[in-house]
Amino acid sequence: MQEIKHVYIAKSCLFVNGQLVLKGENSIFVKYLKEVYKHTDIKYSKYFKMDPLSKLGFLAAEVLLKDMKCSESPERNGIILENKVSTYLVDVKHQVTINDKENYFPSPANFVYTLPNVMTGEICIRHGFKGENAVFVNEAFDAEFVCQYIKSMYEADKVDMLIGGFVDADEDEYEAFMFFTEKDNVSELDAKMIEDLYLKSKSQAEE
Amino acid sequence: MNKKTYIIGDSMISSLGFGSKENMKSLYDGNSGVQRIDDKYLYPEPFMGARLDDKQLNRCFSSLLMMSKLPEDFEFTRFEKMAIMSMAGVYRDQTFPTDKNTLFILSTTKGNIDLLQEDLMEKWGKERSMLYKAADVIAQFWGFENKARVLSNACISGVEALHIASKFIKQGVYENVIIVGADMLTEFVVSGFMSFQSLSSNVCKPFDESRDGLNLGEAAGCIFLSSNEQYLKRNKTILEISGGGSSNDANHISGPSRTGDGQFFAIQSAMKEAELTSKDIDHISAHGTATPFNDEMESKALNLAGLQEKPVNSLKAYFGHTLGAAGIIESIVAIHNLVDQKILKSLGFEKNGVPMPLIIQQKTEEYSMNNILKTASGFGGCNAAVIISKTEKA
Repeated sequence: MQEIKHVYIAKSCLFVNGQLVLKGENSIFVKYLKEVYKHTDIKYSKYFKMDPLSKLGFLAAEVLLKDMKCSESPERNGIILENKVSTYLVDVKHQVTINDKENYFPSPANFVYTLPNVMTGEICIRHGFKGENAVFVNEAFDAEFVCQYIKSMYEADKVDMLIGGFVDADEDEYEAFMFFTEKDNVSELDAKMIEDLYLKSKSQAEE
Repeated sequence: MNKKTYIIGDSMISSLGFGSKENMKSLYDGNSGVQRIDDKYLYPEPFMGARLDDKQLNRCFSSLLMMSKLPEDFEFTRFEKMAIMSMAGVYRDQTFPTDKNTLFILSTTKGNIDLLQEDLMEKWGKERSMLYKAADVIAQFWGFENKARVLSNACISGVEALHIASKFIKQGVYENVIIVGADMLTEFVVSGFMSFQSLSSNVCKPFDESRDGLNLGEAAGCIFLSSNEQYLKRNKTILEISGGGSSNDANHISGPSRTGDGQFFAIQSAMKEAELTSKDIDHISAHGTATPFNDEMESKALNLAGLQEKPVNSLKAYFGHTLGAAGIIESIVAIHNLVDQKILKSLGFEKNGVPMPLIIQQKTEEYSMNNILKTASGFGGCNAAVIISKTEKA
């Protein structure tokens, strides 16, 4: 059985299929994101407008989808992500612009990122995915629920390819886990296996 | 074999009233909940919006506390009260289960976002402002055994929740799903939409030539779905979610597609699942925010789907745009329209202002229908569609 391709980013480490690919020189989140962006070797001007959560999700998807084949029908490619704090970092940034009635300056460029599914939207734009897309907010990555959703969408014949995962960016922590599923390997998809892949990457990053 | 996703019960609270019955009466009478709001807590200047009656909310909520599984002195936020209120309306008519066969989904964009205000943050703390925490509190009120799930996919959350829930039910993953869609009118959201310059200074005019933006609103709605026919005893007309789908434009994060293909994919996916063609769809309850680009996109999508000869309406001039609640409360209206065999006029519409031909419903009247298509679109380029159909027991 072929292993399901997965990517993990946290604590200035990038893992692909459990292998450390990029150990960051910077422990600061946004600085490490720059290193990962360089590593992906792409030129994508829209990236620089994104909020940190979208950047993290975008980069994880970039690494995950490298050399992977998606469906040629755009509406058969989809993505489901979980997230813990929704868009807390951007929310606080927006709140600061409206706290003082004498100095009121809400910005549309910021406000648009106060929805967690804008991250999945950015990924869909980049890769031309026009199919099922959902963001669930949960306290922690829940492999069982994500796999339940994925199996359900395949069984209903809504998709040929579906990315699953968890992407979160909070004040002191960030974490991205993404895995690739397709019609041909979905029968092998097992929540316990996905949970193990996630936990293995997580513990490696913590070492 | 696939099970059916029956619609067992529904309830909602909005600017038009408390309970589905009161809301439907107000809609059939042609009332709008959108009005001038002059409140410094919501925006430094007056604006047009649709607001809930806070006094009524607090009064009604205090009578629910005896149903709570949480300690007596537990304090609820305004958002949690709204969500719980809408669920109580369903529970009173038909007790819903809370066991392992039942999933609770909260559909919201911003939940307890008002808690980010300095004074409220001090009282409630950061964690309570989190969407998962609000869902957890609501779930604990009722004593759900399964973990609550929060779907936060911008303005399609409600319609998409119905779509995903019906897949789970049809496939037997869960027997019952209780969905609550809720969002509040807050300074956070009003100031954001103001910065986008997408709010109208009048009651909004979906699909109209002179439409110039949307109105924000607040509401909570609850729909109880189940494959278990036991719960259908009180239902005179039997309805189901017959199909659903979601899609992405893959075009722009804050502007709708210029071609309508994304929304079309969601409609097509819903019709395919329901085994229906455009001929079978009797009416479309559109997203219709009344922003120039959204309504333009919808006219294209509905034409791509071959639905240009079916009556369309938008409910945004009645309720305002209620974000994560919109898909749920507008589906509740569609449910009652099917039961009553009545169609609502698209309030605010006078003269066609979209590029592709559409029949915009201009009169509230008796109308024979079997299948209503409900659509939604949102930031992030997302779209969703569900079909609500008259049906028989399996």
